Amino acid sequence: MIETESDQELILEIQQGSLEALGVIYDRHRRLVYRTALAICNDNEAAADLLQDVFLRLYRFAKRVDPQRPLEPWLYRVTTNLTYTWVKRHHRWTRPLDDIAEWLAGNKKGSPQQIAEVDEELQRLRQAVSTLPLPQRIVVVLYYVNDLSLEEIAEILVIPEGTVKSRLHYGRLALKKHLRMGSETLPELQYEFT
Amino acid sequence: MDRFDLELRQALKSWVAHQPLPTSGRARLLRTAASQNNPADRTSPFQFVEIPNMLLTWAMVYSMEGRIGSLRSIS
Repeated sequence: MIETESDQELILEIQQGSLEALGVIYDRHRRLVYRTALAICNDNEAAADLLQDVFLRLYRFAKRVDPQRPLEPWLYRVTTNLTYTWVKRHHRWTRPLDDIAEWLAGNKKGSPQQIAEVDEELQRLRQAVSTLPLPQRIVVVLYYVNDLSLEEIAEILVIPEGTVKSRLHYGRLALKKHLRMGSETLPELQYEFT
Repeated sequence: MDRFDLELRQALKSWVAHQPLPTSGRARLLRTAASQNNPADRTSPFQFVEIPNMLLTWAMVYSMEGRIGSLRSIS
């Protein structure tokens, strides 16, 4: 059963041109790639195209991938690089966190006043994230969405860990400043997970 | 990591987690990857369109030069 093979074995097969192995790797890692691209570019259609590009690159350049190393850092690196290029070309993310607001609007509970307050805060959060420079936004996404450590982010982006720390610090500071929260926190939100 | 971080993380993660993954992505990927294996499919339209255009351009240039040359020889 090829589905049970390790990434290492699958990479070796992809290096021999196996499309079946490529399909298995795609199924295994597509969430990671798609969600990372989407969180950075905030465009579902673009994220779907980037998802394709990442795995096509894996297929095309499989011989350059070291099967002895974990695949995920390679996938993160290619995803962030391609998404960075896409955002730079399209000057997008003009609707940052719109979908968060929409999704929460359909799932939150509370009084009308609480809902209105949450909407206002989400609007501010949306504007705050949109103001982050792209390098900071990428670090924020890898840190908050993908739960990666500073060391892992530094390895993926091929930058010093101090730079990651600095980007995260200033990104976080900018978010707080934009939200005018100082040491306060986001409003109490109630999520209804499906 | 304080409460702000936790809530920001929760909001971002909830959002991306609820975005549907593209359908038929695997089929599309394998189709494109397979076409890259096939030399016939890999041939760029550039080779079909641009090369005849280039030849045509050269033919026109030589033809015009020939005419100019013949006009000069007449005059």
